[in-house]
Amino acid sequence: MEILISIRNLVNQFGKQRVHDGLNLDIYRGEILGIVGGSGSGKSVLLRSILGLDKPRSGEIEFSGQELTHLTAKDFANLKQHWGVMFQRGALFSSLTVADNIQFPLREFSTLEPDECRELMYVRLEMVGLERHVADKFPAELSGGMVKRVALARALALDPVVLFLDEPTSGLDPVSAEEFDHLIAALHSNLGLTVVMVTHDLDSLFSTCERIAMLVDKQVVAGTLREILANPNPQIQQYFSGGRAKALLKET
Amino acid sequence: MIQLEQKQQDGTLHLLLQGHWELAQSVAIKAALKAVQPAIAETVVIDVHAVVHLDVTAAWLVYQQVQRWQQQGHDVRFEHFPTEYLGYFDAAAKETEISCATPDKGRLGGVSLMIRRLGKQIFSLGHILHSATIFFGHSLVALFSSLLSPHLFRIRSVFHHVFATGISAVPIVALIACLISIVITYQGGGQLRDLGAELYTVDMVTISVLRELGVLLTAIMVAGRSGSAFAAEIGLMKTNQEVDALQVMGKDPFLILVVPRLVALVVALPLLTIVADIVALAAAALICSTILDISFIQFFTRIETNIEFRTFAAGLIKAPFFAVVIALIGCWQGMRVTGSSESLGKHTTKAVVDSIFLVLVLDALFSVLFYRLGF
Repeated sequence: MEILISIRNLVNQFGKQRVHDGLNLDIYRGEILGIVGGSGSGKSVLLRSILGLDKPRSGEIEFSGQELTHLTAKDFANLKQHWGVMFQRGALFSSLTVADNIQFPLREFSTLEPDECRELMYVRLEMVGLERHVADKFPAELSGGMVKRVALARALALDPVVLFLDEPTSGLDPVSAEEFDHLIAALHSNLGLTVVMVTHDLDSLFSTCERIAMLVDKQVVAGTLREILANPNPQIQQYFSGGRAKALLKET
Repeated sequence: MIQLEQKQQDGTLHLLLQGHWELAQSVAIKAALKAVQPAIAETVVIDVHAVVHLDVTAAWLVYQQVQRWQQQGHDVRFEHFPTEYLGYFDAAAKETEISCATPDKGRLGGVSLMIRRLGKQIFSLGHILHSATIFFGHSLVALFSSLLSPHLFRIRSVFHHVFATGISAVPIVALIACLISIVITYQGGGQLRDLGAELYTVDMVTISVLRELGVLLTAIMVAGRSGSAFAAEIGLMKTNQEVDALQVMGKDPFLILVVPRLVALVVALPLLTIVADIVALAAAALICSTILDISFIQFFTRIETNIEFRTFAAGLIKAPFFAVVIALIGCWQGMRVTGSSESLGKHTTKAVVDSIFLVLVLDALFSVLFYRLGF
């Protein structure tokens, strides 16, 4: 399989606290990778490092052969147009309507006509399973699940190659969370996306993710669910030995 | 790069798409599609099996063109076109038809539009008055209930706000008072010296500073500093559901948030006014001694003989009223903040503008009142 993102010897440190120490991770094109780990293990920091929001202390991050840490700001900005990012709480622009939120990337980065942008916005709404009348609402008027879907629609606006999701199902009720997992799986297969998600939700981890990258001891242990479960590392065993995990494992 | 190959074969036009059909190529895609001119009643076949990558936007542009051809009466057939995409597009297009089919409410004429707008304004004004009445009533109730049962009164919070709104404002208030006093002394002193009445500069500066400028400038400064801070603090707490949390715990948010700020500002503003008065008079004395040859002793003797205590009192007595206006408007606007960051900005601005406006209105009313009373 082709490697899309390759992280080598990543080191992140805040003050005296080292979060990542020589972390290596490969993300393959077309897979759904779940990044998991206990609280404070540096999942979000890893995601922020990949996205270029935090500058790592040392190490390399390559995106389809391009080294990100040495790119000029302009090249990096161009590259980022191939990424869709959905933040934990949506990060919708609160002063814009849903329609304008989704059209924002199209208006900024494409040469399409305004009415084409509008029609494409409706296509994106359809893709994430939202009804048309949502378009004229403001983010403050939406429910939690709808905010996540609109954020996903905005992330999909520029037809990204890779979709980064930060805790996609947090704050959703079980039914909405399951629907959201199905949605991500459907988009993944329909659009051929690579999906990288940070998650706490064992349901979505077991049902949606093809491979799991677990943060243990400032490093990453990656593999399929089966491989991870077979790993004797006590931290991994502890993570998957809780009652909820066991019940889910029995089902699968 | 994109390629579009046209092949004509017994009454059908084969379009063979090749290359990367992506959003970045949208201009080229639109141009290539426009260049295709099928003959009348010709069947068009769109074949995408040779495309390296077809993304949603590019596919939609093709779909749009197909719709146009269909309207012109052509038969269009897709080959190897991703059916998932077609599903999305058909569903979105169907909804477009439905929403277009629903009858328009009809355009309103100029006059009815104006009446509608006027009605909306009146309603929103009524709503604001309603909200203000409830807020001020609730604040009064909270204030009196905390006066009657002192254990409800949060003295630590009051100290905190006296520090934040009063003591930390001393430097800027003193500076403003000093500057404005210098300006008046220079401007007025120059004019009066031409008349040979430079000693009257002392009366002029003292009366204008003590009666009006000291308290007014301090109030405007505090409205800008603390009125906005109150609105932003409470507004953010509101969006963060902290106000709801207090309410659920059975604590009246007015007792905890509004009353301490109100009391603190009522304490702080008169004190700041006194500071402003002192600094302004000191600055005036300094300028008088340098440009008008009025010594410090002359200056203060003149004040003692010519200016009564009530001149000072007439200024100071206004300070608590201004404080109430600033604190209540700031807290009220904070409580009116809803969800978005835009609303936070709007209400913070309104807190400052409205409280300065009301302070000036109140000052005008006091002037009329004092004149009638001969105070």
